[in-house]
Amino acid sequence: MPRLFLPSILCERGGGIESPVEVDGSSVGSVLEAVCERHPGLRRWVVDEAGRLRQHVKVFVNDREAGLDTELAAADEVHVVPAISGG
Amino acid sequence: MAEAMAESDESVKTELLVGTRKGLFVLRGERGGPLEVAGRSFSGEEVEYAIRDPRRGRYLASVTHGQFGPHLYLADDPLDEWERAEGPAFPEDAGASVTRIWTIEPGQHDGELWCGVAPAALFHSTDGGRSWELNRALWDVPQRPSWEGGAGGLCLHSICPHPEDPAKLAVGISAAGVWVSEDGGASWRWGVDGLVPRYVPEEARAENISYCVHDLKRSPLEPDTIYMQFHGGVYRSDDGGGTWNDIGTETGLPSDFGFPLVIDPRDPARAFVIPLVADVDRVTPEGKVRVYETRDRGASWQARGKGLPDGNAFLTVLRQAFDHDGGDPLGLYFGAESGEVFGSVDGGETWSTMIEHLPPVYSVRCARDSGG
Repeated sequence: MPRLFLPSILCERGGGIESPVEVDGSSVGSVLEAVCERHPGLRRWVVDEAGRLRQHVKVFVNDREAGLDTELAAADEVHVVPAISGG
Repeated sequence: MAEAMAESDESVKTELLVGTRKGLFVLRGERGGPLEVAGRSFSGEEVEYAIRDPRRGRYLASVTHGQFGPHLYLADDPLDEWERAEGPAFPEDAGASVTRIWTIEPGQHDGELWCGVAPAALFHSTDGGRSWELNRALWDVPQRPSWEGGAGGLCLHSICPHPEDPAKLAVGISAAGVWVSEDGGASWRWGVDGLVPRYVPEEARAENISYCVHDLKRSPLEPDTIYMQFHGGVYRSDDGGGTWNDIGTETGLPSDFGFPLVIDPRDPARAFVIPLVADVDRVTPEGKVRVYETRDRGASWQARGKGLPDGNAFLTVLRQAFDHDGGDPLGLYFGAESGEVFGSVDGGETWSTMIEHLPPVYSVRCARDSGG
């Protein structure tokens, strides 16, 4: 089953998610959707109301940048990585 | 989320909500005295706007997280926890997503709120901001696909409900002009007659649709009177936003460029602007901070600067960073991108620095006041 890794800020904003989350799904989008169904508070932090990834949020599958349509295998690791900013 | 720093609610005399690039600051103190930071919320995040809805006493804040987008928060006590609301969101078939929540304006009915966002659109709530619905009629006006933004993006930033007639509404869009409804938002007409967009070559103005409105304020006593700070121009409408009269040329202003304006709620002839040099140099002229006041509907303007920085002061004051407290005499407050908040409790005759060294100030709103 794919494992979804979330940064601590999204775990907190999602209402106390414990990362990584093992979740069934055949694509990045379906994995994210499944987690958002369990933790509705997470959704609007990761995607906008049109369901698109936020501009400054990237998703990587294993070590490659991915999109919501990227297909997943059972052993894949999905990492949600917001842009690093400072100042 | 909120860091409380001062006293109990009972002692509140004056309360300002100051949205900054690094959080929301709640300033409190005696009217006319120095204000203290009573609390700070959303530390590190951009708080574009915050108001207190006086009818329910509820606070609303527009917060944009750098990575995670815009969100709307509600609180009954701004020093306590804020609850994230769903906020305005476009329906799927609109093909757009909210990038910034610019303004929130109480409507006429209890629980009614209007909200302006980027990309330019108007949302309506009837439950105090918990849920929102896109105003389809404005979104669907035929000109919208041709709208263009100004430097701050394509945004609906000014909303003027009518204090007596809920069917009447005027909104300001950068840079798509004024839109007026007389049927509660079911239909809209364009209100730009009389506006002169000097930033467009003269020969192209006949076809121009880019009207960069910077701020609109309606007189509650004389609701057909609306004042406008334009992108190079100060105007007044006497017909609810349909046509506009130039009150910025040869009327005593050092410049007719600026962002915010305030209107005296007790006197439709009295308004205040804060001129900046020009669109290419958005700082206070001659290094002096001055508020300009008219008492004759814009026929003439007088500088009000006693107590404000008188030299070496090149400040920028943004469109939502100026407000009044409704008191008598009128209290006025404005903040600068350089982190100061200035205030006057005698209608602008004298000013003092209420606080300084804040992050860049985006908005200043009077939440509560003793009323003078």
